[in-house]
Amino acid sequence: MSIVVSPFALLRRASSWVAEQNFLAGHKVNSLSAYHILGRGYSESGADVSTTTTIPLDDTTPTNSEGAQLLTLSYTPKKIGARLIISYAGLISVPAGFAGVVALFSDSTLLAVAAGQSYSNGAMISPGGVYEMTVASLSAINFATRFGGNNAGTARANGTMFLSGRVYGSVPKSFISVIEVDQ
Amino acid sequence: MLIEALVWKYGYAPGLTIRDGVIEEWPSTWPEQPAKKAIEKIVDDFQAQELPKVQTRLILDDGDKGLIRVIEDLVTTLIDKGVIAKADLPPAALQKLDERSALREVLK
Repeated sequence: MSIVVSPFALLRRASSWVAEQNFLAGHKVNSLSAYHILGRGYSESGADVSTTTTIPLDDTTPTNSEGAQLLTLSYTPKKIGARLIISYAGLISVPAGFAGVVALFSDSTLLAVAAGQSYSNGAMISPGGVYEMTVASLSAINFATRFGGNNAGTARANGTMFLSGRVYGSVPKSFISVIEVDQ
Repeated sequence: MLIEALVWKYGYAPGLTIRDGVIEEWPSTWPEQPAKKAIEKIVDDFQAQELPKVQTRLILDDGDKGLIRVIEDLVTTLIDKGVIAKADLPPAALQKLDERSALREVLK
């Protein structure tokens, strides 16, 4: 006895199998994934900012009156207990031998600070890093980065010293990125 | 260039911030902020009088680092050839040369 299978039935079976595999693959990824993204925020700027206000390279905590404001980002968390992963960086130019400093704040509270030394006049460095914190409130958090040189002199963000500012068109940008993940 | 021109004119002071060519903060220790025309004049003066010096200084600064090694090698050669004695050098210069020589030995 021969069994005749309609090509349409075969096609339906095949597409069903593909859908099933896709479902299983998706389920597997979900079950293995440790984190679920709840929300994200991003702020960038290529503004040519220069300042003479320093963030001294000493054993004191940088304050939000040191350096100049580079960027701000307001983010409203979605869930108490979730983790915020904050990435930040500034493109900074300072005189040779000076350190360029970028500090990350939540309102007036210092969260993190990064510094890098410039090896020559006109060179750009990009101090930055990643900071994590647990969500304790669902109120908006105002993140900000401030930058400055470590010593008396001028510092410039998104451009170079002595070359009258911006370089590489408008592509170089300083940024703050926030990703909220549920664990 | 605006920030360099202002620091050249008034001397370094913290508290000056310029964003995209607009002065946001003006140092409290400086005289009152001048009008736009006067600031443009400061920038023009800076470009005409000081900028060539700044650029020359930058080139010299970069060259100075390489020249240190040249001087060090020259002094060593003169001592080796007996043209000068170590004792002829000022004590501070001799100490610096010895320190650099010792550091270079560490790298070998």
